[in-house]
Amino acid sequence: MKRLFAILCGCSTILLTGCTDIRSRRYADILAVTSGKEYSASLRCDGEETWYTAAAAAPKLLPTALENELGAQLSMGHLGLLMLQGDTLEPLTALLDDGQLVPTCPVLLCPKTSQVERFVDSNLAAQLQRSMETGLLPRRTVGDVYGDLRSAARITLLPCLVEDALTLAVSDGAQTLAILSEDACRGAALLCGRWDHFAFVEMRGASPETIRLKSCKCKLHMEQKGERLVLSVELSPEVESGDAELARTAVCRMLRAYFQEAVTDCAADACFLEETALRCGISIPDTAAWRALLRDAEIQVTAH
Amino acid sequence: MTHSKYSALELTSLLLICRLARFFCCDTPYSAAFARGIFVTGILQAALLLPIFLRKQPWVTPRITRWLVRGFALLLGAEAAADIYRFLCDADAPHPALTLMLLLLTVLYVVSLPRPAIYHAAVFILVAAAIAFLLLPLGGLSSARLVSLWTQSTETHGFLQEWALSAELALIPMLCEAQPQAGKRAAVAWIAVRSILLPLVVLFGTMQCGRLQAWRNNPFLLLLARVPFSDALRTDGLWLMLAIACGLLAVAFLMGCFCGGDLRTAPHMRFAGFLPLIALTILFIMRNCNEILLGSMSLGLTLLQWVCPRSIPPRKEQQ
Repeated sequence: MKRLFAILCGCSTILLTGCTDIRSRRYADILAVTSGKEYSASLRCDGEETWYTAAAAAPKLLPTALENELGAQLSMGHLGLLMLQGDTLEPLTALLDDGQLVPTCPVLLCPKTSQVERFVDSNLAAQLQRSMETGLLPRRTVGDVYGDLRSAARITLLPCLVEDALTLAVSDGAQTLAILSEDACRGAALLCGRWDHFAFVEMRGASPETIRLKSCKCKLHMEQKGERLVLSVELSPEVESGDAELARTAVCRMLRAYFQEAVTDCAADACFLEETALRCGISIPDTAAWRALLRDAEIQVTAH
Repeated sequence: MTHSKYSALELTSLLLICRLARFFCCDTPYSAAFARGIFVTGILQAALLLPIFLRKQPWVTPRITRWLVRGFALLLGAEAAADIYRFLCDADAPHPALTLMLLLLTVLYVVSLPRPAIYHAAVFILVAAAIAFLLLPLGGLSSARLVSLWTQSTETHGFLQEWALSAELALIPMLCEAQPQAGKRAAVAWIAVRSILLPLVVLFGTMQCGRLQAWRNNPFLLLLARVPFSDALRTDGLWLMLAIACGLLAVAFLMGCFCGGDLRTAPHMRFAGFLPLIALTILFIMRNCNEILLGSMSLGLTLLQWVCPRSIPPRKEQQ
């Protein structure tokens, strides 16, 4: 009797593990969310070419609207790219809090969602992935962006498309504050430090030289002198190929460009400056005061 | 309760599995403050249990306290069941409520098995968990960020959470009474592993999670998502099975404690069929129960057992 009971329990549990449910689910590959008077979403499922579009009054309702459009349960657990246009914080908060988005999904700020299909045809997700691996852009995922927008400065960095080229935008979740130069993008990638091979071309006189870094250690130290923050960055690039001196000059320039364009111009804190300040015994005031401190910060970059 | 057949390792395994089950399902965001909270709680709990460890005479718990502790074990079992339910929901598992009801029926079957089965299963599950925890950092060391340890969070919250999550503390005096030597060793191992290894896992999780400290309310699922390792060690693989197995064993052990040791020979066997129903009822009550209530109950019951034995003479069979 007991065995029969155990077998029945076991079988029922296995039946409830949802094999049939999982088979009938549709898995999103790319999702594009546009915010305006109402929110609209375009979705492409894994292994399909068709795009499904739905609109809703709030971003939280978008998955249900998309499910109605698809006529099946939707899973975004394997989402390869999230494209956002306009408001960033609202859809991210709604989808992440609802458990719809995975924090490891790459995110991209997109100028016009009407052109989504064209971007996808040019294999944008793979292009973005390559840029992150080669240190052209820092690795920015849904979790990173959301974490930054909830931190003291509440300003983040987002990969974005400008005239078909991938670059980095500074955003406060509602609007784009600035677009970073190529040097600043590489500086951010250096600080984030999650690239596979960092290669770039530098001019030595009139001839170009390719420099490849093996690794680059960044040590950050912060101290408060009066009303001003002094941020010192020590770089130790290890060169795999190319001239070491040229490499040191270039990485210093890239980092200075990043701090100038993102931190002192826009008060962005995407590379754990808040945590560095706490580590160095500097208390973080409110958002406005922290932004003011970052804007007024003195940056010292050295390379060994 | 008669535990004379069981070794310290088996008792340790069950105590640790109770804590692990709640660790997998807990929704406190990982932070350095939480790790410190776990460590400080472990030290305080060790100090609280010191009189039991140092006492050479047999430990005797008064009958009324024993009933209170049994009732508390039932509450803990229900809370563990609620945690499994929440974990299933967080992991996006289909039909979590029905699955939980069937799992509770399975618990009933597990409790009715000969006792060594539960203890052997606990040792096996603990060994599997130890191997999995050893493998976890291997894949994630390169992506860990030390600076994340300075992410802002409050220490008090982590401290209170840990009191609630390690509420099996209240059962330790009863275990020490039933089996003095093995019980004491198990309690020491329980405190040592909890106070040292769990904070390390939390610190590792903090370094992985960065500023986003929890996802789907469960920081452990976020840690698994962040660690770049094979799919077999992700949510849909070993960890999900491990978390549910720990939860089941914890519920079975706590139900066994409620029934006074062996369910088959307990005089309360007639209640056995209702246990899952009781657990489910309490589960819904417990969803509104906060960590302060559970933490203070475990502290109160431990203190009660610490104070009471001095005024009551040891029972004849234990002299």
